[in-house]
Amino acid sequence: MKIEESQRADWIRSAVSRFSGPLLRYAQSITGNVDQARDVVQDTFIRLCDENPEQILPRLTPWLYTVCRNRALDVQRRQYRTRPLEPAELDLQVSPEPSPAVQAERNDTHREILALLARLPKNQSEVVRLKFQHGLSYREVSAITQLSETNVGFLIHTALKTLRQQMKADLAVSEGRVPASPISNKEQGLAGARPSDSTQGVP
Amino acid sequence: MNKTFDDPYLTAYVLDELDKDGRDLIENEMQRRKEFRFEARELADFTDQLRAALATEPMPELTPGHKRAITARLQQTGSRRKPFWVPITPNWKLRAELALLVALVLWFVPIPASLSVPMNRLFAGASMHMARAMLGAVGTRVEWSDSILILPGPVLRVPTGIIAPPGSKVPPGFKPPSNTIAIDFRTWICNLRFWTTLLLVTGFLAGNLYLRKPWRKFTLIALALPLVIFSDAMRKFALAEWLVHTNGQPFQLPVFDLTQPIFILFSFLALLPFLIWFRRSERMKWSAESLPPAPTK
Repeated sequence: MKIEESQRADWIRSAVSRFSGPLLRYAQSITGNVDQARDVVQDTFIRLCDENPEQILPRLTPWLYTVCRNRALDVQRRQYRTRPLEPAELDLQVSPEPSPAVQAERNDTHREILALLARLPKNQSEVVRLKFQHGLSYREVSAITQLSETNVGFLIHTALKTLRQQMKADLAVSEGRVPASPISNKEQGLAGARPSDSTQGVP
Repeated sequence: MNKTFDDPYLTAYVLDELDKDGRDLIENEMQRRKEFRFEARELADFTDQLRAALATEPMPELTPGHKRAITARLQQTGSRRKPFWVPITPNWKLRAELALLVALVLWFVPIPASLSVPMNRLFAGASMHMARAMLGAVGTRVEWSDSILILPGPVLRVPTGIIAPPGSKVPPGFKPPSNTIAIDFRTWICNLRFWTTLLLVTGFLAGNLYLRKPWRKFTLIALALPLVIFSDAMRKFALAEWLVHTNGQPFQLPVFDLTQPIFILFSFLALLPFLIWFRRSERMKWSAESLPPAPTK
C-alpha cells in the first residue's frame, strides 16, 4: 500500500511538472490573468489528487484541459468581465536564430499573428490555441470544448482563413498597395459566426 | 467531386485530421489541380508560422505556494484511495438503473413454451449429467431418468419410493427399481430461468461497472450459464449424498425448496473471483512513465 501511495504521489508530481505550463497558458488565454490562471491550474491538480489514476490515465489530457477550462470559465463568470490577452502582454521569448534581420522579421510576423489571433472571436481563438499551441487533435478539442468535431474543424478553418486574409491585407498596406483599413464588416461577421450557424457540407 | 480552396476538408487534410478516404479525396484533387496543391502548401506554411508564433508566448509557472497546496492535498488524499468495490465508470448509477430495467423487461417478457421447455430440458439435463459425474467421482453409482435421480438401494434402508415435492407429477408407469429411492427434480428446474436471468443481469451489470475490455465483460456474462448449471448440479449432488449418508432418513420436503436459492447463491459467489481476477488483470500501471506526452510546448 505504501508503495502504491508513493507511486501515486510520483505520478501526480510528474503530471504537475509536465502539464502545469501548458495548462497555465490555456487558463491564461481564458481568464486573461496569470494569477487567476495559477489558481485555476492549482484547483485542477487538486481535483486530480482526488481522482483514481487508474480511471483517469486513459483520458488524462482531455480531462485536465476540461477541468481547467470549466474552472477558468467559472472564474471569468464570477468576475463579470472579460479581458482578452493584450498583444502588449505577450512578451516574446527570443531564441538565438540565424541572422538578426531574419529574426527581427520573424518576430514581427509572430507578433502580428498573435495580435490578429487576439482579435478573433473567443471560440475561434480557443480552438486555434488548443490545436496549434497545445497540439491536440480535433477529437480532443471537441471533448474539451463540448463542440462537435465538425464544429471544431469549421472554427479552425474559419479562423485560419480570417488570419491569412488579414495578414495578406496588412502586407498589402505595408507595401502601399491599398489604404489601411480594419477587418471588414463581412470578415468580422464570418469570424464571429457561431459554429452551429454554418455546418452544412462540412466533414 | 470538385473541392474548393475554401473548404474545411483541405484544412483538415493539412492538419492531418482526415481518415484515409478523406486524404485520398484531397490527394486526387491535388494531383488534378496544380493551384489546389499550391493552396495546400501555403496553408501548411501558414500553420507552421502560427505554431511558431504561439510557441513564442511565455510559459508561466506555478508559484511555490501553489505547488505546496497541491502537495498538501496529495498527502491528505494519499491514504484514502477509492476501495475496490467503487465502480470505475463515472455514470455508474445510470448504468445500474438501466440494468435493472433490462432485468425487469427480461423477467416479464413471456418466453414461448416452444423455447422455454427445451431450454429447461437442456439446463436440467446438463446439471444432471454433471451431478452424476460428481456422484460417480465420490463412488456413488446412480442412474437417472428424465430428471429423476435413482439412488442405489443397498445403502438405503428405506422402502422403495419417490421423493418429490407436493404437486409433482411422477410420469405414469414410472416405478423405481426395487430397493432404490428416486428424487424427482423436475418441479424445481423451472426456477432455473429466473436464476439464469438474474445471474446474466448481474454479470452484465458487474462487467459494465468494473471492467473495461469488452471481451472480459462478455466472458463475465457468458459465465452465468455454466455457473447456474454447476450450482444446480451441486445441489443435486449434495441432496443425493445427504440421502445416501443419512440412510434415507425421511426429511421435510420444503428443504428441497430452500436448497436451490442456497446453491444459486454459490454461483453468485463463484462469479466474484472471476470479477476480481478480471479486474486485477485490467489494472493499469500508472507510474510516472505511463503519463501521456506533454502538449506541444
